[in-house]
Amino acid sequence: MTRKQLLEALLVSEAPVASLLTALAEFGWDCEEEPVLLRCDHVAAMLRQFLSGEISGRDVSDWADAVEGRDDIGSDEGDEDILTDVIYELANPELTRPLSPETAAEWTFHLGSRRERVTEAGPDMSIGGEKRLIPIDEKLFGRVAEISESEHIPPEALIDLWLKEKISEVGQQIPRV
Amino acid sequence: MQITDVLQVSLNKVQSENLRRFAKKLPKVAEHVKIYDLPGGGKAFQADVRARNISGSFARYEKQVDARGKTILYTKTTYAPDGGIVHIKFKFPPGPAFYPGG
Repeated sequence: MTRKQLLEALLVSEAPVASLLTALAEFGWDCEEEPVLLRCDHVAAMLRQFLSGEISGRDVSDWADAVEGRDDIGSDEGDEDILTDVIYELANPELTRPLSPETAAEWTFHLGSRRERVTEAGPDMSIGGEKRLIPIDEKLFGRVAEISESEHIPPEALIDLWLKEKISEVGQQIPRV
Repeated sequence: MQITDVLQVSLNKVQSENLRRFAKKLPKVAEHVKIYDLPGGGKAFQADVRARNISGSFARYEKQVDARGKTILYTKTTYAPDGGIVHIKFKFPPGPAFYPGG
């Protein structure tokens, strides 16, 4: 595999991190080629895997540590700050805060907001998320908003998290069609 | 990210370029980069990042380059408030993390 292919596999966590890093070490650390770009959706995808229970917090931390500081990985233009922040936090839970469903949902929300802003910036952008508008009873939403405020989690992220938990719970009892 | 030359350390062009890449990729909250001489003309670049959650705890990012400016080692060491090492992560060459406590 080429260096670029290995880096792309690393960004989407396509193979075990340790084996990808060993293969990448063959190319050395320094890189004169164009860096492969880390995007918000790479990080959001890792966090969604954590939220669905497919991978552990340690897996996310190992992945972020592998990505952090590499000469051959750059950041998507305009998202450098948020990507540096999220990778630093995920790679260093001992120095920041441990990854939990709440913090993962919070980051997923912020990274998704970035993606939506990018999508709104121009019709030719290929990345973007779909929104579904579902009416929620006013009193019920009022309660969600209260919990959202006390937990410091945006209501959209909170609802997203609860839905995922519920779907995961129900999904174990009802087989997929 | 500010870069602080320590004493009379001088860098050649390739080492300077490597230092610039090192500094650019550090977390935003990293402190000034310090530069040390290594035997044989190599240099070590070091930057500390203080913990957000535990006072006195920090991570030290260290990259070592040889006389030609090629990266030969990159580690991240996390320290506890008492100065003890929590773990060392080997970014390059990659290897298993070292936990002094076992």
